[in-house]
Amino acid sequence: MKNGALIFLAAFIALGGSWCGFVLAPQLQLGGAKQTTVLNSSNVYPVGRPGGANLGLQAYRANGCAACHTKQVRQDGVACDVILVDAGKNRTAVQAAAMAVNPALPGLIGSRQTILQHVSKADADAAVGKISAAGGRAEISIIATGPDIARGWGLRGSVAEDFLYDNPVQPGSLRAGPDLADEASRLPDINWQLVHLYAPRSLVAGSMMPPYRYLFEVRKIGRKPSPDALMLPPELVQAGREIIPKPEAKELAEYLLSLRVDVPLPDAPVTPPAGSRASTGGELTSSSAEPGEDAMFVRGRAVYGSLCGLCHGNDGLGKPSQVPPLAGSEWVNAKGIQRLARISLAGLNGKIQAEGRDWNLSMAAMGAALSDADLAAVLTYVRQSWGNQAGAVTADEVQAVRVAIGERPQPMTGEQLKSVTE
Amino acid sequence: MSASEKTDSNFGGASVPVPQCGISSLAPPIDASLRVPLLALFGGAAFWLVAGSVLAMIASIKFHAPDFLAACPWLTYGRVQPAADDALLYGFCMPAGLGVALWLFAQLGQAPLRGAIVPVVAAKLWHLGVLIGLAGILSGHSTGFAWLEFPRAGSVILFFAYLLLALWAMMNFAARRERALYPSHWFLVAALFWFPWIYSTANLFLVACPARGVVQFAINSWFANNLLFVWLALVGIGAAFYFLPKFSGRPLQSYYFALFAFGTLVLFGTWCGIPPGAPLPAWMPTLSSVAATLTVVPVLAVGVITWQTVCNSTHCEPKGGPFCFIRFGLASFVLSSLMLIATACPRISRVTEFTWFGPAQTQLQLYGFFAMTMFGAIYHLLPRVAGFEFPFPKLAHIHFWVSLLGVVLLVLPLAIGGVEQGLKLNHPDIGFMDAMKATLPFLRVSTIGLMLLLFGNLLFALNIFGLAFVWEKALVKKAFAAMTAPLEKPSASASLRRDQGEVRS
Repeated sequence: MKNGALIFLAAFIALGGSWCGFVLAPQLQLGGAKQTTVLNSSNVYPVGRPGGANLGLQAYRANGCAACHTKQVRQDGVACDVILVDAGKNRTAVQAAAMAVNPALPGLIGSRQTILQHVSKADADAAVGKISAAGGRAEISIIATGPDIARGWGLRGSVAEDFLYDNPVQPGSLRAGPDLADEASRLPDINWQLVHLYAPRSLVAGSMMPPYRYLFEVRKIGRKPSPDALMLPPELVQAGREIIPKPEAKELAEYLLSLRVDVPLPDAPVTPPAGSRASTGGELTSSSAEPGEDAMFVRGRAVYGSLCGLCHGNDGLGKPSQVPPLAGSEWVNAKGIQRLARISLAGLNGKIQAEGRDWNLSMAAMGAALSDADLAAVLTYVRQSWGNQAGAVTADEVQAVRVAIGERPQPMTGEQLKSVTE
Repeated sequence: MSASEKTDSNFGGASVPVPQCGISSLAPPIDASLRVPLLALFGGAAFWLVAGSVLAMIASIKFHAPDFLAACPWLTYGRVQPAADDALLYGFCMPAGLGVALWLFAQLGQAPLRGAIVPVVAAKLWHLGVLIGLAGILSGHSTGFAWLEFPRAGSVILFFAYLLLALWAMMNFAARRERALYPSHWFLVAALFWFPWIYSTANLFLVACPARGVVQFAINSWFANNLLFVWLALVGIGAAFYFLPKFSGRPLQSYYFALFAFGTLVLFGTWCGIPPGAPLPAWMPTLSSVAATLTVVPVLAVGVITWQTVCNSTHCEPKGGPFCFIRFGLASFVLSSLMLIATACPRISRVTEFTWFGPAQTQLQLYGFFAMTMFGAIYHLLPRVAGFEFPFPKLAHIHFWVSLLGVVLLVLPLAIGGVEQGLKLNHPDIGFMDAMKATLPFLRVSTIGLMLLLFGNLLFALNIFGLAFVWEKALVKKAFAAMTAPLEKPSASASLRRDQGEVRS
């Protein structure tokens, strides 16, 4: 029996070793993990989910969403942008310093201009040093890099802190569908989420996601339509009937709308876009106005950074073959705002032409939840940035469009938009 | 190897005379003592094998027609897919592995199994646990942890059923008459003890009193690796190291090399499994990657042992017999382990992580390696244990070719499609939908692979159920004959009593 004992001992030591390594040690290191402080802020992270979203996590588990969706954003590294914040008194000296740092810069430099893009921390520090020696002030903006982040799936890579309040933790291991770690930033419209659960293909052409119709009830419309009923694309509307999400569906959608990876942490530093939700701890606040900018434009930039920039980019250039650019777009620069406001208030679905190319889009009604003033501000910002030079938008104009399309609009199609006068 | 040469004089493969009908009094007592427990284990396993591949087919079809069975919450993709995986692992692989281990212990130790009623009960319990677990997943009560989806009620039953089976196997091991240890002993004893540890840890810290946050991820990865890679490797290689010399007619090359493979496998293999990009403190994925690199050693050792034992084989058996199953299984083991090791390398993982490459590797491990090895073992041992030839021996050969083609058509497209998907996902200018659409042709071919596997599994189940049916029929016949026989013939009733005793025990 000597040999038998030896086998047992060998196996015991081998398995015991890895048990200590991957069960005991993580528990000792992270089992008592607490909230961390958000970088450059006194806020703590993560905060618990609201009740409905917590129940939604169980719907996510029960229906096996993790079989196709990951909740892990991968990050390759970080790069730094150097932004000139204040040119100071001696503009020529700062100009010369900036040109020395990056000879490719255009002749004149203005405030909030990016001087260097995607350089290492050391290079960025050196550049900031040169600018301040010349009397100007420059800031470093940290940008996470990697394909997931370039796709707009999150502002930074996922880290241990992001999962603190999940039970069970379901990071997923297959991307047969997109990563959901930052779903709330990308598609914050609950109606979009619910319609997508009910009939994924009506919003995303060619989607392989099965419809979750069993999470919804089809009812006859009573004397008063239910406030919960889905706002459906026209092809799904059944006369006299409405689609009501069951509690499970609502909770699942609420859970999806609680998923964010946009908070800078000590072990995952990143500079959120100016005015974004993450940079202000959830509240939209206006960043400081530059000379020549009015309050509305600044407010518009803040709203844009938190809602639109993730897909359309803070440079307004969109994403090739996925998100059309806003810079130079004929839809943005039109004379009136009838079409532009409809897109943001009702969403956009299906084929559309922009800047001479064909797009197949599924944009949520991103502006529906904004106040008239905020939507006017963001539309103004879009129409007057990145070389766009269209007129400003007023809150009254936005309100007029809101009234015209009714309380619960369907997502627009390219055809419908064309039939509206600019 | 000296032990194996001594123990089995009745191993000539096809040349062993197997009685064609009647309850065999010719089956050696060791085999006879295992008859009922093994039929209980393998019968249920064959059922879950078919059920699992039906579920896998349903899941796979959903990629081509997302509306397929969409109205039924029980059959939504997110539930069917894990249910299919668990049916294959817990329903087929584990009971089949335990049955083969029981038989190997009895054969190698030349000791008949005593108190066979306990393993029979344990086998029934096990299959009950699988039933409850699968029903739990399909009704939305999955725990949400990969490879640990069975809800509490199912996993508790599985745990105790396993303990009973392992206890009986260990008692048989302790009571062995042939004291010398063969390498298979090492692998199988370690495997018996491995599962209760990892399964109790995982259920305790993930389900019963869950750890916080990403600790769950670490424990889940550790558990999945130790079950899918280490446990399956221990049982599969342990069994293969017994059958290889039997079939090839050459001793295992060599005893000490096999022990070396065992030692390095348990030492390094158990640390693999944490993916390089995991949102965990960096030391964990790094350690896991290092361990995975070192795991090349036992994997290659197994490959070399197999190669040296098999080449110059003096044994010739018709193509598609048990020997083919086991050789294919070992080749799949080397290949799937190398795939696993490759995905632990951060550079490769950047492409393959989160793609179909992962499922391809898992399927090759579960089906190509383990299930195929078990098919070979069961085709070899079950006729000896039952005392009957399989009712459709030709189907067993067809089964081999169908499964081989099925595994190739399932794994190869998924692996290639996974790499393609990974390359496209790493290119942010390529839209996500375009990257997904690129995988569709590969998924289509893999559905054909699954269809072939389902067909092959049906052939296997047909043989197993056929054998069990013939055995039961003969049992009834004999009982009837004994009952109607004149009383003054004491020998007949004595033999009936003996046979019934065997059956019940």
